[in-house]
Amino acid sequence: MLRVGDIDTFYGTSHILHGVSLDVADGELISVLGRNGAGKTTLLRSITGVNPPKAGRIELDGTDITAMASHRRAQLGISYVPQGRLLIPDISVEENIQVALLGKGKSTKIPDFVFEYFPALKSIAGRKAGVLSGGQQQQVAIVRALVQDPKLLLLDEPTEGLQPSIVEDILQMIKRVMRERTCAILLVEQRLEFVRDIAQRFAILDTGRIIAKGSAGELTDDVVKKHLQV
Amino acid sequence: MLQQLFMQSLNGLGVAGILVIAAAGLAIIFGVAGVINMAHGQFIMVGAYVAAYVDSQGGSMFLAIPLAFIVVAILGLVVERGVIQWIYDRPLETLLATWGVGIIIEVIMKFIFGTLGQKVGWPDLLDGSIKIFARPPHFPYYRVFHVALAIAIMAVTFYIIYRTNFGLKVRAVRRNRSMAGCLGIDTAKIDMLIFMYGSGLAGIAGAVIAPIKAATIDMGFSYAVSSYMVIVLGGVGNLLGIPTGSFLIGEGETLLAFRYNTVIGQLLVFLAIVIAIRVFPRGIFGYQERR
Repeated sequence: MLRVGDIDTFYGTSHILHGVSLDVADGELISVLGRNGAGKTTLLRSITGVNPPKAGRIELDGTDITAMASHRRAQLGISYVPQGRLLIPDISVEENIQVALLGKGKSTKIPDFVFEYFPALKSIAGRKAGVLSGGQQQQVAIVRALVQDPKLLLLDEPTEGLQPSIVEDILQMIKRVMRERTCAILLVEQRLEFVRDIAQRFAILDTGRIIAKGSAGELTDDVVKKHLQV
Repeated sequence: MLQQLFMQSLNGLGVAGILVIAAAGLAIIFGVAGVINMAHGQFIMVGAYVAAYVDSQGGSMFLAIPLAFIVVAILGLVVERGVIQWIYDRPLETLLATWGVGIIIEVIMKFIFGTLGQKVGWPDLLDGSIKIFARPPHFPYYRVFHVALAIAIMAVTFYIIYRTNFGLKVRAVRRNRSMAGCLGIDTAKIDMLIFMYGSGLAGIAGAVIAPIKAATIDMGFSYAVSSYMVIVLGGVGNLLGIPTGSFLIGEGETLLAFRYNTVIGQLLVFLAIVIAIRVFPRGIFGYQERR
């Protein structure tokens, strides 16, 4: 469903991604690992169109989206949960979710599954997103992506800086999404146990190049020691 | 003395009304699209000439106001599609480009209408004044009209921004353009529509100001400067910044001019704004949030 073919992405004159290729199949969860500055977030931003690649090709279900504007990619089915959440701080939780619904051309009625996935959101729906805790913000950011019924969900370090109980909630939520929905997930994550628990495949980025990939079972301690330990 | 002070305060309210009308378009374009439109004064001037044309054809100002909105909104569309859309993320270039656009508009208007000013009449309905006290000065109807129109413009704008789906998209784009795009919002379309709306409001300002000052090529400049001051003082994080900044400047200038004279009044208000910026660097209603 997603085919990233030999892309090169830049920030200004800085060459960040060098010939990165990656395929994601329907319903598959692939985790992208790598040290800080390896280019993991840039890869997701290239796929969303925030930082489009200068060379290479990105396809979604056979459609070339390499030069497509971000909003059109979202309408085609790519939803993004960015690092740091990036909620709209001065509007309510409910309105943050409604923006995502409007972006997908849907009505602003919040689907029932939102409060099934995260029951705590019901009590904070009217609060401004900017005053929520990190864990609450992350839940809203994930829900905001899910209400768009994505074909491909991009998750950028969804557990970063969160307490263990919230990390567990998010893990269970991702498992539930994999069970109940047909979307593929591209997950950037630093917690190895998290990745081993839910990913089917992995890819390791280093200085903008994919240096290792394989099935989750192949993410052995030796691979981790060789490619990920500082 | 108290009676005069009261009447001057009312006049200050009328001035504030004009400032709201003049600054609203500029503030909305700057607040959402991040463009400081240096052609704002020329947009106001075009609105005034629309009013002058309508007046010369025997039409009323009440017809000129919506017509000026439409004409200047279309002008804004042309400027946005032709120039601004390519340079949104480059603030310095947008300043220079809109400044150049302003010069071009002035030249074209001079070519069409000449350099002589054009008088614009008030509708009969706005002749006369409210006699609050037995002795003059009285409060003219046109001042009441300015205040009422300013309230109406702010009410409509508040409704659009805070009560409609379009407004929700606008607020999302204003706070995080790239994330709004990732959520499926066509940010370029939002920018275009906001630029049109803000430009149209400048046109309304011109149509309303024309009967006070007459339509002249350089008439918009002083209102554009006042509009920039309103934005600096009120801030762009919240629409309330527009009426607040306008009220403080309008009342300040009028009351200080009454106490001293117009020049000293404007100078003191300018100084007060400089001091206020030290206390509110982003304006009174600048962004405040937990990060």
